[in-house]
Amino acid sequence: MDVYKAEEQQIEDIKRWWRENGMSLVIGITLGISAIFGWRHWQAYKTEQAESASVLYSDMVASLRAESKTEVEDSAHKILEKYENTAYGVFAKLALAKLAVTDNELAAAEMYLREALDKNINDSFSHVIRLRLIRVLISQNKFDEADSLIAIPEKGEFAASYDELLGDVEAALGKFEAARSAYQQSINKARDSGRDISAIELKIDNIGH
Amino acid sequence: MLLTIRDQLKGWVAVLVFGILIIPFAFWGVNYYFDQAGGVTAVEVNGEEITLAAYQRAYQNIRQQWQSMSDGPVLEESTPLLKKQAIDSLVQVELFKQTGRKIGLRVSDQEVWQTVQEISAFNDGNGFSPLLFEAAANQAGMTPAGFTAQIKQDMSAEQLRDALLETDFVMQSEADAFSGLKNQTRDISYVVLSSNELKETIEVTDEQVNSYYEEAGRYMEPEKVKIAYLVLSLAKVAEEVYLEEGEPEVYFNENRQNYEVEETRKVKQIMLKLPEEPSQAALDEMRAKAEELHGLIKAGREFEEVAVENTGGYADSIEFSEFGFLAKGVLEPEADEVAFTLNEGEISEPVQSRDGFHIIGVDEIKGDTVTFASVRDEVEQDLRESKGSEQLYELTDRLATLTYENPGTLEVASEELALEIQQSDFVSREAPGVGIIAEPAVISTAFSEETLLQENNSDVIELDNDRYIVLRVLERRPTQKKPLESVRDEIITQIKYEQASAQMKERGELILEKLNDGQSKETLASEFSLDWKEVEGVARDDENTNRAVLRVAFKAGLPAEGKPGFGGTPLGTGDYAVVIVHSVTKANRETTEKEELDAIHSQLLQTASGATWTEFTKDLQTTADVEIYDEAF
Repeated sequence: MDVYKAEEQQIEDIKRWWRENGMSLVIGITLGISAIFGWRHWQAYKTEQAESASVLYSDMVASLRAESKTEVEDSAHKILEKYENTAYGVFAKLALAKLAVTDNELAAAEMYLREALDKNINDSFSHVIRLRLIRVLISQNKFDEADSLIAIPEKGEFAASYDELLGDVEAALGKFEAARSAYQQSINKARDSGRDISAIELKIDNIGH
Repeated sequence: MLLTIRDQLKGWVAVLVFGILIIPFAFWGVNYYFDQAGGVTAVEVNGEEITLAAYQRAYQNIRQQWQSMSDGPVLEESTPLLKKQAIDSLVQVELFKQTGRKIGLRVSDQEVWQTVQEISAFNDGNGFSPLLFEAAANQAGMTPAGFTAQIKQDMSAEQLRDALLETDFVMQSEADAFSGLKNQTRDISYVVLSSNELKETIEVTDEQVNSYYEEAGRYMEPEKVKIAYLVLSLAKVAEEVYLEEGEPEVYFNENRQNYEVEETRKVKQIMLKLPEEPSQAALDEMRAKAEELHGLIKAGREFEEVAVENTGGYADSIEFSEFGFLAKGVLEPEADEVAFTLNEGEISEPVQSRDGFHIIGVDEIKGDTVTFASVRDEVEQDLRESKGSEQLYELTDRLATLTYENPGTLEVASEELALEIQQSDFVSREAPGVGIIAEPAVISTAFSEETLLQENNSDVIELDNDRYIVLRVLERRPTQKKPLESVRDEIITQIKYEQASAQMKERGELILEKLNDGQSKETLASEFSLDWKEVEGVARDDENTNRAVLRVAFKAGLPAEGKPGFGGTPLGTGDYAVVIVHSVTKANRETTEKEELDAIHSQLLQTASGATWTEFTKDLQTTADVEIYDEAF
């Protein structure tokens, strides 16, 4: 590299650099600025969506607490109409599943839960939905489907619940040996996390140790 | 390297670099890099900080809850537990906030505002008070805007919680299955193999007794001490106070108000009740009746007799009452005035009040005019105690000095203060004896390092009722084995029990094995001379069947084709029970009460949401990156 360059030389260099790169620079800045505005706009839009859904959701929860069925349905459907793709949409489906269970319409409950599960909003939350779905399947005697939903590799901290449901499936199929070991595993894990295990104990006692 | 960058910073590369540089500003804005300053970090959850101030608030809250629950001060040893609880709860809330944000929960400003206005802490009686709100924000170390943002996040955490718990359900089939299990009945046979006869025949040798006795840790007597002590008490000091002639009377006159008792009178009455808004005729009739009764009483008849005899026709309106000692102002005003003007033993004319006519008698008058003579004993005692407590203060001080300066003996203090040295028997922490020795403060001092190991006098211990005690340990008996003879019988019983239980268990298990091989209970009955008890339709909580037998019966599993379920258990007495389950009857849903089904439904719902909650929060925690900065605490 040269140790010295005349001033004109440097100015000349800058000019040349500008001729070669000026265009790209302007495009870059423009792109950057529009990216900022685009992103901000998108954020604002999402926020607005979520906030509107949130108001409906608050109503829905209040109705759930008051056990007023038609009002829960009303709010849930309003959420689904406009904001199905938000987390609130998933919550609405969970509420509808609960209503369906209360009316003993298990097929409908299954549908809502499947749709909610497909959104996969959060790993931990999806486990909760999956476990509910498995219970609904077992109640409909759909043991194979239940089994395949139980058989996922990553069960996180939900293993005790999965094992309990596995025990239910095996017991229902008359495979007491397998049921026993599933229940026992469930009890061991549930005890570690300080969960109430009396119901599982009742089940394992019934089929014998 | 900078040169390389400059060389490369051409064409599309320049575009790319600018684009990349712009992204962080688009996401977070410039202020992200500046506003984290200030506040010490206590915990970091997924890179987000919880300040020490927030931790301290949470800790104080938990501490206060703990205090109001346990109704006492927080013990030193529970502090780490409380700290952990505070951190756990902070982490949990933070994780819920983060999760809520990540999945796109967003509470609108309007909702936040509504909630804030409904919080009673911000309500000054006339509705929402911005001043109270700002004060609360200040207290939390935040600006009002920051405080609102905080509430907003709390609310979105709340939304996530609701989504988890409010949508949980229990299916009809699950409730049915559970109630079927819980209320199922079983037909069982069982036999208790009694160990009584066996226990009689077992011979226990001295050798066995000895080796059982010798085993370490058995039959130990706790550490015991014999103590000597001096007691100072106000009661005792007061007894010996010398009172000058006339002194009590002066004291009485000075403190007269302490001895005056409000006057009370033992009153009885006959009341003739009037109807509401009585007619003149009814009034006259009642007055005449009252005069008549009054005449009878004047003539010497008893109140009660007169009232009882004269109820005919007036049955509901004549009432006799004996009030015992009344203070002024309890009775109807008119009757009250009369009752407090009569002399002892006098009887009033009929008095009319709003409710009817009263005839009143006063049997006894107490209080009001207190004289020195009537309260002399009480005055003297009070005076003694008042003078005594001054002396006691000096004496206690002297006692403390003397016993401290002569740590090896109580004699000096005993002589100078004329206190008798008393002695206890051997006492232990577990059996602290009786009387003043048994006071917890005394016992714990007796076993403290100062008195027990250094053999010094104790400090002066203050007990309730103005009692003071100083003690020293005379003799210490370390923990030692009880003498063999005192426990020989106990050991023999124990050995017999252990042997008999083992044999019974062996026998029971043999029977179980044969049952498993398919032998019938009849065959076994003759082989082992068993007397099977048959119980049909026994429930889990059957009160007529041994609980241990029930436990086995409901754990023995389901009887299969041609093979019953069975099981056994040792009983606490050394006996062994063998149980056979012949059949299981599921509870019928139609016969289960609706209330019970409802109860089961809500019990299961609770279990389900409990499980959801525990597992979900734990799962969030294990997948999160939580760092606790211990040095900050």
